[in-house]
Amino acid sequence: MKKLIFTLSVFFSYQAYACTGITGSVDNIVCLADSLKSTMTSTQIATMQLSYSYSNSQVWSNLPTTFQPRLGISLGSLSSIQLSIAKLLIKEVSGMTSMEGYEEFEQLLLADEYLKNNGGGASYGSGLYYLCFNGTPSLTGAFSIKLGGHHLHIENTYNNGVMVGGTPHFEAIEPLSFVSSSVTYQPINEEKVALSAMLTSLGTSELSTAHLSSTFGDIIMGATNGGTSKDWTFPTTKVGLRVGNLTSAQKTKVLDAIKTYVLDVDDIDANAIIAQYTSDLDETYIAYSGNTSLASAQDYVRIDGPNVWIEFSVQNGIVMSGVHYHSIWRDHYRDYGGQGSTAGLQTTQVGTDTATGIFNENNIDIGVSVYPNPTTDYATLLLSGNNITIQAINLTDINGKIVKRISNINTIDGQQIQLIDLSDVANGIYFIELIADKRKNAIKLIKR
Amino acid sequence: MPNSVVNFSFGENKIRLKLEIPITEFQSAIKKDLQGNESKIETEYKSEIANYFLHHVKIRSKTGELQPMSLADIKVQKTSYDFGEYTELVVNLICNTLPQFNNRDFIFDYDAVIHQVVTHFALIKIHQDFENGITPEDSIIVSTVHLDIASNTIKPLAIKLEKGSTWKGFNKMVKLGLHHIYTGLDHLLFILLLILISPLILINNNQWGNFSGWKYTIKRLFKIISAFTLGHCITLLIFSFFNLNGISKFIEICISLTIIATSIHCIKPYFYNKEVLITFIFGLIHGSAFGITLNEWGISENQKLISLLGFNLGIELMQIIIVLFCVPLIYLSKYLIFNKIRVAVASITIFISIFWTIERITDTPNFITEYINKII
Repeated sequence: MKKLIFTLSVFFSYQAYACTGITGSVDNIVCLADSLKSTMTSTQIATMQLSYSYSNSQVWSNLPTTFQPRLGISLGSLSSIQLSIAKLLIKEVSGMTSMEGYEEFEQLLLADEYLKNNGGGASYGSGLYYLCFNGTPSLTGAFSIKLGGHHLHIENTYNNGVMVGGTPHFEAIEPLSFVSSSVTYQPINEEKVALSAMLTSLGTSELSTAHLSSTFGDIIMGATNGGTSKDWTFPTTKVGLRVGNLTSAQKTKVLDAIKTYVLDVDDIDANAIIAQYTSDLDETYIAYSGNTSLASAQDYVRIDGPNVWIEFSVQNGIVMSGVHYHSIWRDHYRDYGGQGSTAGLQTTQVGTDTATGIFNENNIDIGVSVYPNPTTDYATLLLSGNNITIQAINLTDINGKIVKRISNINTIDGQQIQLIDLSDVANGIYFIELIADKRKNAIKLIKR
Repeated sequence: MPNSVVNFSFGENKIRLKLEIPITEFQSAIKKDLQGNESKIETEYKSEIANYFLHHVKIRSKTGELQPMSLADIKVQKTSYDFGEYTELVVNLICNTLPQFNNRDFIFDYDAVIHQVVTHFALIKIHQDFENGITPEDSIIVSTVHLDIASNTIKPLAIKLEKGSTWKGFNKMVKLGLHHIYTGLDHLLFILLLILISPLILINNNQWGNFSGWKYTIKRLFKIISAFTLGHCITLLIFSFFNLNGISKFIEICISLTIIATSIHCIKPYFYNKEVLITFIFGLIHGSAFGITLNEWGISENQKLISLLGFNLGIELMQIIIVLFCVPLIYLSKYLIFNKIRVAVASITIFISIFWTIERITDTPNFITEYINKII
């Protein structure tokens, strides 16, 4: 019997590792999802995999699962083989940045386990996190991977083989620091330190502009919890301090804080989103209430950009004494992949501005689409615009290094086709960046 | 953090508001340290707190006419939610509405706590609305007041109550009367005891005899039940008009003692032929309990008379139903087994009543009363 289990586990882990696509690619996510399902009973699959809808998407909370049930299958109910494949899948979805993404997921589960064993009881624990496929993972059509429990919610949405949303992403921690197997963990310390550094880099008058007189007992764009849904209710007027007025050193601090959230999705998509949030930076606002140290209850900080929305709240402990954090990353247009908003479900990859790849700034409107994608030798870019000058089109690798540059582009008036020769670049993931009037926009391109 | 609750009670020309506000959130809103200073809330800080609420809680007509609001009282009490205990402020406000005001379609301006603590929200509950048959026992949550994130404002709440009627309210009270007897085990047992002794006649001066004929039984039963109901009606009426909340605990203890007294009589008669008088007195005691509850609901005078009528009608109906159900039991009194049933019922009742009495004196449930609550 022992031998059989061993053989089986080798077989399944081989199957799991057999997903040898590019890390973070949707191919790999679909492959791992299929591997996981191949180890499950039909009842387990029926619990985990639902048909795709916004009403499923919006089910998440900051409350223990005994107070607000989650969709999907609990990690505690999985066999060890199933759990290991599930974790590989979560790794693909959340990325490998140190102390963020997958590592943070592991640490937040340990934290809930700690809470369970230190006064919280049966409403808490790492087994009470639920994996849910909202829709069937596939390279065609829409689905989201949900991983949710008391203090973490991951909601990554994919449509036709591209990631179209990595939010809402909720993370929280109680207690702030804990020891598990002789290792000390502080899972959300990076976020707190980066956000506090962003605030303390401000001068006195900047701080007074960023200061909000309201008191925040929690984040405002949090979970519904039986009350009113907060989805797409972002403030119409941004409050606080405009990042465009800051020094480049201060801007870097803002970006560093943003990265502690965006790096919780796979590395490739994270880079595309960071590129977008970077280009948004000048029109992004930061605001806070309480203390810049983010150490006491009711300390609060917010980053609100054209796309990004981040909130961090310090509040009193529930199970333990001391304070605890609630925090959320949302995106004005990409929450749940855009479904539920007026724009509807997005069709282009995260990091491109809107559904059709059009961005609006200083009267510039450019439509851009690329096909085929993935491709082999050539990529065809279809550009459309109304008397618009593009300075350059860059092909960059995932580290941001420019592999190819096309600079002699005609002014775009109407539609224009631009071919990019890929025969001399290696297989992998690239970004096509359009540079126009100091704005850049990136589209993911896969060469096979 | 727990939220606030606003309870609306609608009378004819009066709206009562009961606000329940967590102290921790309230002190952030008024920027004053109240935790540890709870005793000052009802004294030193009272007028300041009263002013705060009169400023942040307003009722106006749809045309903008502000209705006069006044503070009845402020209390501090401990309460609990899913994640533990907390202290809350209970603020009672009274709005005596102006003549032209439509109290079923108006605007509620509320931003207490939320104007400062923007993450806080208040649940809006209809605590009582006679015309729609809503009583505090089945109050309903109708809405919330919260920050409108998009506009960063707190929007006024339009309250529009479904058109009710006096008939609807009356109907509800009849149902409550039925329910009052049906679910009150103490009441049920009491009536059962009265039924058990009605067919019997006294023998040897201190023992229950046998079945003494249907005519005797029905006459006795009618007299005893009527006396009980009459007593019940009288105190219900009196207590519903006077605020006697203070003696509520005393009344509850007395009720369980009357049950013990009747049980003993059921085993060994000691007030034979005085049953009518005694049950009349017991009826007086039982009636005062619901009278106090009715007074707490604070419904208007007209509505109260209709309520009493409906409630009593419900009680009568249920008593008749119970008596009809017990006819087979009376029939059994022709046989010897009846004595065993009578003693068994009475003994069990004494046993339970002792624990009810203890529960009501100590204000804490014991394992017997908890077990009974679980099985019924």
